Amino acid sequence: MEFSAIWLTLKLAGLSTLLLMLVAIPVSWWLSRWNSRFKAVVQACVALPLVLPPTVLGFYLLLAFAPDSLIGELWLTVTGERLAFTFEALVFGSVIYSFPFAVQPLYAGFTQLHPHYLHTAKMLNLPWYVRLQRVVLPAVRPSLLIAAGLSFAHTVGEFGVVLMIGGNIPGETRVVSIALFDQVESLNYSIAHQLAAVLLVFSLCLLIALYWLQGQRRLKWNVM
Amino acid sequence: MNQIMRCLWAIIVTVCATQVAHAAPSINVAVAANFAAPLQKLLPEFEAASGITVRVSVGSSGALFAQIQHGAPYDLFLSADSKRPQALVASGRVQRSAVQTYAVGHLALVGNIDGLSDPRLTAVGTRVAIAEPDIAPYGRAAKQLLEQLRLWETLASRLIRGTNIQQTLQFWQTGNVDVAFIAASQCVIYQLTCQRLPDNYAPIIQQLAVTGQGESAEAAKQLAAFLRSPQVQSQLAEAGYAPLASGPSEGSR
Amino acid sequence: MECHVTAQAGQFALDIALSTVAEPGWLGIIGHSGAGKSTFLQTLAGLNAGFNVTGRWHDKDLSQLENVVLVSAQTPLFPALNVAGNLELVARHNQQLASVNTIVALCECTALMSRQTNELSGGELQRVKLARALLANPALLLLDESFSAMDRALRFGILQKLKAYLSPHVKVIMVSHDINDIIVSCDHLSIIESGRCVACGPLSEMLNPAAHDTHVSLPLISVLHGEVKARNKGVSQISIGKTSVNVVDESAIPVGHSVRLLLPASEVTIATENSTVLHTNCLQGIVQSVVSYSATQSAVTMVCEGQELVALLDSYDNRINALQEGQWVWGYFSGQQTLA
Repeated sequence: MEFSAIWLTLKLAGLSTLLLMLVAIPVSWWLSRWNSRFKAVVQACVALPLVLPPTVLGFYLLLAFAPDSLIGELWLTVTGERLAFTFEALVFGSVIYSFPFAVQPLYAGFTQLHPHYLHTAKMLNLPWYVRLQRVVLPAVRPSLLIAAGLSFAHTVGEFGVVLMIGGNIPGETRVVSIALFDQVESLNYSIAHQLAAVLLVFSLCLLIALYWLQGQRRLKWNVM
Repeated sequence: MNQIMRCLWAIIVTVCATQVAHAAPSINVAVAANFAAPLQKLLPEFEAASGITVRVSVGSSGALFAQIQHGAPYDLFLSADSKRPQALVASGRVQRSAVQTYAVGHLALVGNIDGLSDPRLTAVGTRVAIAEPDIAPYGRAAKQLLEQLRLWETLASRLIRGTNIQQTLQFWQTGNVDVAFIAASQCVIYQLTCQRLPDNYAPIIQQLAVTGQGESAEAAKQLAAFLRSPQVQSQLAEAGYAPLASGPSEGSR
Repeated sequence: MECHVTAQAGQFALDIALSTVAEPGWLGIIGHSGAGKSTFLQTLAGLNAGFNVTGRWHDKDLSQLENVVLVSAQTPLFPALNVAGNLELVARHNQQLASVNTIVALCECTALMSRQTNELSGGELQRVKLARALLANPALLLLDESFSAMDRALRFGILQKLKAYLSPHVKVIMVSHDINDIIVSCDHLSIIESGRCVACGPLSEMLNPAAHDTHVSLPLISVLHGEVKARNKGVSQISIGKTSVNVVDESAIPVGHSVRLLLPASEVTIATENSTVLHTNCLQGIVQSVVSYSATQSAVTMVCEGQELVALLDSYDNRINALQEGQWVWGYFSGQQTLA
């Protein structure tokens, strides 16, 4: 069994989810309160990784990570190392790849949050961080969990992007989906079946948990 | 009304008849990524001479193998290695006689170093790409070569591994690695300045398997024979492949 | 007081200009639903975009006013917190005049503290919202139907405590469908119709039948001031001047307190001769005016013990023609009246 690949996958998914939440919460918030003719354009850009073939995304990321491109050069100057084929590159790629999965549930949650709650909190002189902590985040808690869960599950199942920018280095960038691909390619079907089963059961459990949460969503949020 | 119907029928029958008359035999060919470009170059000549239409599907050898194993309608399988055609024989999917060698690959080095003895190759900051040794024949060859030169131990943990030889080259082309072990044929196709490498590895034998049945199997055999003809082999030699040994090598590498 | 509020809420345009000679402490607002009362309060509370507020109340500039706190259906409790959580959160970020417990007790919320917000009844919800608003230390308190789900005794009890608690410099604007709420607590009244103020003035003037030329039919109610003299079996004896009347009092105002007795004009019957057979209570007075109130009714204003009492008489009642200013009459009413 490829335990190092499994551990690496979990590490990648965990870290990516954490970063995604940090980025997606402010972005979705801003998007839910922003009204402009160009909103559709921004929303489409956010959703782009949903429809773009992962290998295409991966290829352009590979180009972007090259030392002669802006991002690659910046990374090289800051860290002294090249970005492509590192764990950091995978995290970077996963964040972009799973971005719509994090933004969309949060956006829906924030849009459903009635402005009355925010106005009331502001009127009662609560500072912004208290409004965020006590009013906004509890209100979108189900969305938050769904966004995190989807990001995590999506990163675990990610293949095309990792294939392009990972370089298949054991312990560094060789995640479960790549290991699975390798095993299939080298005709080791029994190990491939085991890995596939692990991926399948894990993803299924995660999704069941998410849908269950979604079912619970209406429980406490109808008080006016 | 009747008149019009009769006219319509006449047209339909004529169109169908011409279709049947002109229906040249056509075959489906599954080709490994590294041989796709040379094949496309050779096909017009073959199609003109034989009248056979060839439809090409490109994929990784492993994926194509799995598809064929489960009944994909390919008539000819041009693998990047000998392992998968042999596996088709072992599983009883094709006859032993249906598997033949069509090309022998060469390893080449691309990158800003002077051969394998250059200390820059083993320097910590240098990024080296090979194809994944477990799944790609050029990767396996590169690994054998590095083992021969006692460089494998040093390099193994930080080698960047491409899924196939195409991706390995892509790593280098996009500027993300300094050195890449690629196929000599790629040097020709993409007009790269490469360095020949010593042949200290088991030959990279690319084998084909005729997987079709009946009529299309015959057409596939024609294409196989065409690829193995001295004239095509000499073209392949120019394209970076080693010429086939005089006797057709059938089997193990 | 001068106050001018304009706002645009969808198709609805609000343009309310209030102006009073005296400075109101509590201003009541009535009007049909859809007249713009709630929008007016929301705009004052700064909850509407695209609004404009100008004016002053005492020495305060209304557009600069801080701590304007609204209590309405549009100011929900925070569902992630229970009642205590809601109140403590607001208490922590504001300075209060009294202790949290005092305010909680004032709003009758002491027993509700451990409850979840979705477990509260309508009246309980309104009490908690009011307590939370008071904890935010309002300079201008806006009450939009904030007592509608409470029963009358509870409502008057809280209103009375609220009046005693709020210092005179805290201003209140109260919107209510129940005119009694406004009569017992407000000193000024404004009538709003279709986004405009059609009448505004001191409560006593506004309740005068002569002022009834507006479209909103303000019920005719007399407000008599008196003092609780005694209390027996739920009935309070109230002295109005030298006369005593007996009124059922649910809110149990203690003996010695001064009270207002609200007497709807339709509940008062007039007789030209004294006869105590029909009613519990009787006040003697002199006819001041007889005004036609509607097509079928006339309002008779009499002065009893120095205070005005209004009665409605049907126009076909022949006695109206016989009534003359300065004539002695007797007004009768039952003991089922509102005290505050």
